[in-house]
Amino acid sequence: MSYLIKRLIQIPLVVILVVTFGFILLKISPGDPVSMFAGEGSTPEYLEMIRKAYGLDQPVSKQYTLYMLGILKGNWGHSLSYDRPVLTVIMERIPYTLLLSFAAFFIAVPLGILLGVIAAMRRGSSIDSGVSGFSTFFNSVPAFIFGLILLYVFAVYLKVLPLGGFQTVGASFPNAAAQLLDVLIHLILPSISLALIWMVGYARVMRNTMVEALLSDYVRAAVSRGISRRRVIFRHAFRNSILSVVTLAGVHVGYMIGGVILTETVFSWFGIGNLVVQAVSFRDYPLLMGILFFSSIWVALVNLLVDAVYVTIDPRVRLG
Amino acid sequence: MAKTIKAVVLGLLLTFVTFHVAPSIATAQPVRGGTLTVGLIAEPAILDSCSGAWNSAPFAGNILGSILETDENMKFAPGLAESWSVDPVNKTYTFNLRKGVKWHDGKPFTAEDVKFTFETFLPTYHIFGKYLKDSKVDIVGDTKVIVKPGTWAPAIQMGRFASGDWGIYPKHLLEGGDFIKSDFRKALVGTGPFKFKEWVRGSHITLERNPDYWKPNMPYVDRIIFKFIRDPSIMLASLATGDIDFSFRGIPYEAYGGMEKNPKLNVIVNYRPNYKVFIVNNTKSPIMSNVLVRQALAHAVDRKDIASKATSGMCRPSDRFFAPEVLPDNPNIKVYEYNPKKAEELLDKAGYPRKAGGTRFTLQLIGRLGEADEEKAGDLFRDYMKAVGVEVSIKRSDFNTVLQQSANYQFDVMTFKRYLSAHFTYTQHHSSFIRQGVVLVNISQYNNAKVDQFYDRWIESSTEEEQNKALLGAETIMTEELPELPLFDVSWMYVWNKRVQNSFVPARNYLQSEPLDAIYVK
Repeated sequence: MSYLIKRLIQIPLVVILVVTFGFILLKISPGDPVSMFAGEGSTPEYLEMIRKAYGLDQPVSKQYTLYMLGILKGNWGHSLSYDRPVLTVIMERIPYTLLLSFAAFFIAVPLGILLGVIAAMRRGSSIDSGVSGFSTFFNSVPAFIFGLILLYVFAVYLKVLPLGGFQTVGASFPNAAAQLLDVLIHLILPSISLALIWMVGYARVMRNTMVEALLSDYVRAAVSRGISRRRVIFRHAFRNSILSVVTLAGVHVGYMIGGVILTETVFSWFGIGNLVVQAVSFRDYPLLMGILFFSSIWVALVNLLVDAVYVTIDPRVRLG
Repeated sequence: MAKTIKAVVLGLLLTFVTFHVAPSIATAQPVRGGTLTVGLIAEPAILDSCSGAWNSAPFAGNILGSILETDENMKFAPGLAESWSVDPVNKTYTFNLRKGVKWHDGKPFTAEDVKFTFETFLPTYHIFGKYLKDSKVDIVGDTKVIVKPGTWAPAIQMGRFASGDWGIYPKHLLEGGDFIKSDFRKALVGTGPFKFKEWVRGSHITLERNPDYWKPNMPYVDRIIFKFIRDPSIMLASLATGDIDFSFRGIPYEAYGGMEKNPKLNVIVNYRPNYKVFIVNNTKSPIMSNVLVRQALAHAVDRKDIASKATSGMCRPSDRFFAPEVLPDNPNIKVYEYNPKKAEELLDKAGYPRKAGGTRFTLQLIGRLGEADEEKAGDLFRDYMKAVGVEVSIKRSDFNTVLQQSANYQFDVMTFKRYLSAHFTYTQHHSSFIRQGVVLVNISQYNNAKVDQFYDRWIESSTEEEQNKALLGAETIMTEELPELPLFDVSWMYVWNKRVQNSFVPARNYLQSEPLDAIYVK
């Protein structure tokens, strides 16, 4: 427990370091947000007017101090490209990215584990080879190609699912349930696309650690004591192997924002991944900083959660 | 590159899709109602275009309303002014305003709005507001306004009057406020055919029909939805499925075959608005400052081959600085035929013989990522240069980075697709636009007093004939000195669903800023 408290105390320090590093990185990177905001042919006077309006005429050290003080007061800055508070822009996207990620997560984890266990139990069989081939295939196909194939089949050819977006544009919904249903229909293709890519990771990890566990001495000892195969597999081998799946799940959830960029872009999904692309292309520094800030807190908290799960699942783990 | 690959993959997939739709038959009588859905490759930051903000033109053009318009023959036409006259002697413009026009909030449009726009608003906030600086606007009676600009520049001013670019702004909403931070920029109020309705960030913008629009019975559609579709492959699929009715940018040339075969679509390939891909020469960089080198490079490239390979044969090679649609033929220009031998002679003469290993010198080429035709043109340029002993080191970055590199002259040569209006071309070549740090103005740092004089004469000329004469004079010199090396004119694919009638190609305005008031859907 003391380990978890220590980790909790470390989080603000890590976040401050990440945000400071990000701030410096953005300031030294090429590109001028004002020129993207103002447009072509802008006069120096006009650019100066925009710069002043958004505090970009201040020295970098002052901008940094103001930014950090603002963060402490809950002010994440003002987005140049959206002309709205950064926190508002991020918060309206978060539910959509969480929805996509967790939908994919809840498809990928059970299916991945199931495939991994089956492959491990039938090691060397055609089923094992099939799972391995399946994993290799989905690992090799770039996310956008797979997304496009799904779109082509289900949206263009069969016309049973919508062609990207997160809602039917211009539709009027009789109630919130109808609107939610519309969002869920739009969620099907992107979540499956993301889930299949994640799933093969879980299947492979589960299969390998499970095989390792099944060949280990403690499993052999258990079998020699006459414990049933089913009990050995699920009470001993499975429980030990699941730790690696938790680690991978932690990585997927922790790096959710980076992981969904391609999928959100291909499916025009209204999430943080899409927002990152927009913020980068517009050189919207306050928005990028806000996403970085949010992301660093998220990664730190998820890592903490994963550690807590480790302690719960495996009493052998002695942290700290 | 990834976007292009994706688009090509989906384009190929779509080629196999068969649609069973009867060909559309245009109805003579426009039909009222329905929704037009337009696909836009990028979402704007704001809707107001007076700062030149990227991708804002379609919104400002449909919402604001301008004092004059441009017809399909690229001639000036009535707008909020029913009639107008130009007085070159007294250097004034007189506009007779239309009566009974209302702002979208129901307030009457008056001569005071025009006075506010031309005297106060545009000179302060418009990127080209300097052409209205110190303007004096007199109101005569209720509907006549006489504009006397501080600087007499009819060649520029008339073009601006006749586009959504110099829209008319509501005095009652903007006077005395902080426009830069106002919500008006995100929810425009104008007198145009469509009213702003909603903006769902990351998804779409909806405009709805203005029932009080001054053109009788227009606009025909009830609403226009602009959907933001960043991915070209999804844009193609959306056109194929009918999810969108119209798109004009973001469709790769490779997709033309697939689009054209689709009986649901009407594909128009056109050179308007006029753009050209150039190699911009930094005329102050040590090597490129030598005009013999610039001429040698012009002889070293086969424009026809570059135009063909970079655009799947969809664009025409060019020797000129303007487009034939903008300016008449110029018999005096210097034409550089593809002649590598002559290029090598000129490079020797310029003092750059081949060294051991065969290389004469190395040039730094910058270009942006994500524009396939520019990228391919840059690669082909490098290959042609290698053949005459010139190494080209290519550095590609995102658009914003390239804007800064070019504004700070950190290059020898640059691939650049740019707008060809006389005004924009003027900002690329007149020495008064050598402004380090300011994006997209005279990035070649070109300075020629005679060219400046021609452009100055063009600005002050009130007739098309005089204006053309001045521009042709400037063009003749520039083909000798090559601040930029023209490669090919850019064609655009306008893809309309056949249910859309009165589909058109933008006449002269930058990036589709013309109102879609005459469009109707079946």
